[in-house]
Amino acid sequence: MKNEDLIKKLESARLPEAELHTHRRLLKTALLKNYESASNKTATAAKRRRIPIMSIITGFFKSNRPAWQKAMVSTFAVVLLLITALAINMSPLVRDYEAMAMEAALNNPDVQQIIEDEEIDTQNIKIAAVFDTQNGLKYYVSIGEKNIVAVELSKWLFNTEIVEVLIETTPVTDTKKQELIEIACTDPEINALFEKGASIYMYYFDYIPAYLAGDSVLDVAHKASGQPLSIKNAQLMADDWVEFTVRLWFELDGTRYSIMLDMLDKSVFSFGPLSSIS
Amino acid sequence: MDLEQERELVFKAKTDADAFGLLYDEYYPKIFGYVLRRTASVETAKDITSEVFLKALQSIKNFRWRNIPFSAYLYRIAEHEISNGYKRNKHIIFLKQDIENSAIISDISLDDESARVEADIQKHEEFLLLHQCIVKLPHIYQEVIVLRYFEKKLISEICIILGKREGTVKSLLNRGLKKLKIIMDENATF
Repeated sequence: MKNEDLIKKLESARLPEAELHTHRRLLKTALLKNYESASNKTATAAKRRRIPIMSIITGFFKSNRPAWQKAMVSTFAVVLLLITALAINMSPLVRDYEAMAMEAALNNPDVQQIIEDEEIDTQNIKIAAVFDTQNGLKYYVSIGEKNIVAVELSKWLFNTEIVEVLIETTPVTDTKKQELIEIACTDPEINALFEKGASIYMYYFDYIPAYLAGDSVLDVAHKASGQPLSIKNAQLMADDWVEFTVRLWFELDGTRYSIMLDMLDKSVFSFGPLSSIS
Repeated sequence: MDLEQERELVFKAKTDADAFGLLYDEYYPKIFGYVLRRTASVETAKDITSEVFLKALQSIKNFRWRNIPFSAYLYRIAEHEISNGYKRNKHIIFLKQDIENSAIISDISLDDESARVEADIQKHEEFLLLHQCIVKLPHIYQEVIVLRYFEKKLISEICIILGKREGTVKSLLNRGLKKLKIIMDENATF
């Protein structure tokens, strides 16, 4: 079965709007009858959970306790704050960001699903690339040969966030690799690096569904910031998705670079070196 | 209802039961329909829809507006209930009793209504066959496929409902369709 047929089947097989008028009416009555008790219960519980820290502090300083006690508590609080601040500043030196990124990737349910579906060995899960961002680092973790997870890590908040789980399912043939290198080498700077013997170590293909609109479909998708769903009144015309961008990561003399190719224009969209992986 | 009107209504609903009622009127059909298409069971759809609105009511006073539609929040509760194996809590049992008592007083049969919709569903054989295949997929694929093709949601809307990035949703959809195709090809009825 073709993708197009499957989508048509899914769209045509949907159930018509069904509604239970009596259930709807009676549920509304029951909910509104319980409006006060149900909505207040959670709000009161939340209020109860709040600890009045400020009133404890002001109460302590307004109390009749001796001045030396108040001074001691103040000094202790200042020392505690200093220790905390120092700990925060020191911790980037001892934190293993790579391990944090890897842990975040492996704890993601979508990633766990991919690992299970494709029976990926943990040895094939690796940090593939790392970028410096404004607030921290962005890691690309390769899951097997075809999947990539982007993990953003904030240095100051000590947290990690999965920003994207990207899945690629098409194997890259030698002909395809050659085509990609040819497109990349239209940029003189990249061309010079390949002439010096640069080699590609990772590919990622980003696909969009093939749509048909009034004029050039793909241009419409591209100009509208690459969001294929911004195309109005489009019809699905192909049974598969089309290449939209390809990201390549390559290496030369220990330096790693990233290129993003625009596959609609067959041109280099962006290019730059990666920060080194510690 | 646009987002600004909805924001005002949600704000009102924190203290005004009628405003909550308006939100309920707006979203009951969508949520009930979604759960029905996800589960293909009228009884489960009734229970989960009740649970969704009860939870929404319980949390309305603490609800913080984050510039996303209220419906996205309701879909998330519904999805959570479906994915985590719906279990009736004690509040929903009271609510259900309330509904049943009201039905008895008004001399209405809720069962007849459910049976009629159930019979309607049974007529849609193609949907049921597809549903049988969809439920064999892991939940992450089920939800994106149902939201995209049965609920006709845009990818951007699915992103808000599921709290996932666009690239992730597109990947899940692509992957889910491929898996569904395999399941359907294995199924001789298609």
